[in-house]
Parts: sequence; C-alpha cells; structure tokens
Amino acid sequence: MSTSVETQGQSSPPESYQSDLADALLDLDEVFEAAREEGIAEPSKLAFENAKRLLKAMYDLSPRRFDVYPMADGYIAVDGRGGYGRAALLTCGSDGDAVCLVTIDGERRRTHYATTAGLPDDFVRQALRELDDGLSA
Amino acid sequence: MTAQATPEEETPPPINESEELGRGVFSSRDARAAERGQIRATLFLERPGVREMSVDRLTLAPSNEVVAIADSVAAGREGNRSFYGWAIITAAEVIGVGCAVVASPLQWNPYHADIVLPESAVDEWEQRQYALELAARARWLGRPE
Repeated sequence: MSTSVETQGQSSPPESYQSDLADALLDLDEVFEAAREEGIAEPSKLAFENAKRLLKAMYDLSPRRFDVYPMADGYIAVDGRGGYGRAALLTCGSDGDAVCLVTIDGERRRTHYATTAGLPDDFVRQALRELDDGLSA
Repeated sequence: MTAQATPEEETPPPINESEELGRGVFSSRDARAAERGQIRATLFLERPGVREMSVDRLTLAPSNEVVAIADSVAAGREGNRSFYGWAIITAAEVIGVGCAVVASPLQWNPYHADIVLPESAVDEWEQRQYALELAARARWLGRPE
C-alpha cells in the first residue's frame, strides 16, 4: 500500500518524510546554541544558509532523517546514514567553503569545495545513492 | 622480594577484540541523536592533532563502577554536564577501520583505554574521516538504571 499523499493529481512524500525534514531543520536552528554549549566556534550566517539550502537539496534527492550539528571551526555538519558502516557528511564552513566526507563499507572518500555553488554535485549525489543502496540491501 | 601490587596497580588484561569500548556521551543533544540511531561523528573526535581518544572498557568494568566514573567526569566538565550513556564499538571494529586500541588505566579509572588513530591522521579532516567511520559503526548504550 502506498503511503504517498495524493494532492490534485500529484504525489507528495509520505508524512514521516516531511517530518524528517522538519526535524532536521529544527536541528539546524539549534546549531548556534549547541555550539555555544559545546564551547566551539559558532557557525556564520553564511554557513547556516548554505547548510539550509543543501539540507533541502539533499533531502529532495534522498529523503531521510539527516542529522545536523555544529563541528569545530564553525562548520555545520549535515550527516546522512545508510545503515551499518555507511555515512555521508557534508560540512559547510563559515567562509562559504564545504567538505564532503564519505565512508561506505570501509572505503573512504573526501572532497573539499571553495564554495557551495555547485553543490550537490556528482560526488554528493553518488554518496546519497550509496546510502540508499545500503538501506535497500 | 618485591612488594605485591595492590588491586589498583594490577596490570589490566590486554584488550580482547570482542571487548566493547564506550565513548562517554555528555550532551543531551548528542544523546537524543544517538537514541534514534545516529551516533554523531563529533563523539569520536578529540582536539585537532590529538590522535588518542579516551574510552571505557565496558566488557571489563562493573556497571555501577563505570557509571560512577562517568558521573565524576561529567561533574568535572564545564557547563554542569550530565552523563547520558556511551557510543559503543568493539575493539575489532576499531582495528578494522585502521586504528589501534591500547589499555591505558588511570588511577581514577582502571578501565580506561585509548583508541589511537594512525600516525597518518595528523590532518584534521583525516581525523574527521576516521571519526565518521567509527561513528558509522557505533551503537548507543544508554546509561544503565
């Protein structure tokens, strides 16, 4: 049975998926307070805006409960999991840069970006596909 | 004749690959994420350049004793922290991602061990890559009642 909601002939993602995005956006709203509590550098507004755009874009490509949290040096992590040993972490920096780290069953990959303008690129899309593969296997 | 070692001074047994190692969680946000199955990579990060990270040998330690130790660690931290539980991983899983585990008992924590990143992990992003790999294999164990 499909769980999609039909609205005027178009299907939208299941309600739980929408809730996953809303919850991840709430995590994002808390990154400044969380960084203060952890005693680490607060992210910049630019990092916040980039993380927000990319969270939504990544969610559109691969709906899941992304986790969002601050890292050291003002980075915001958007963290997706695909089962045991599978993770893709896109981090948005305060200077507008980004780094994507991927681990899939022991294989590690990483790419640094000076800006987020071209993201999500093929590297990120491939990582998300591999997370999906882990959950459907 | 040499003096007999007191129990506190006894050498701990070597790390067994099946041992479960716990990384203490002292943030309610990290604990909530862990409860829904997402162990954050930041739980397996120390300061940049530091390749050793503390863990508790949970297989070896009596539960009440290791919780008391974790509570004392929480009390010693800034910001009125509480102890919520552990991100746990086996020694075999740690070794499987290319790290080492060494027993490093402390006077106040005989169950202390260190996960040691390889020497090549000097770059902070390389450390984060290992942290993500460890987190992707770790499980949550909430504070025992």
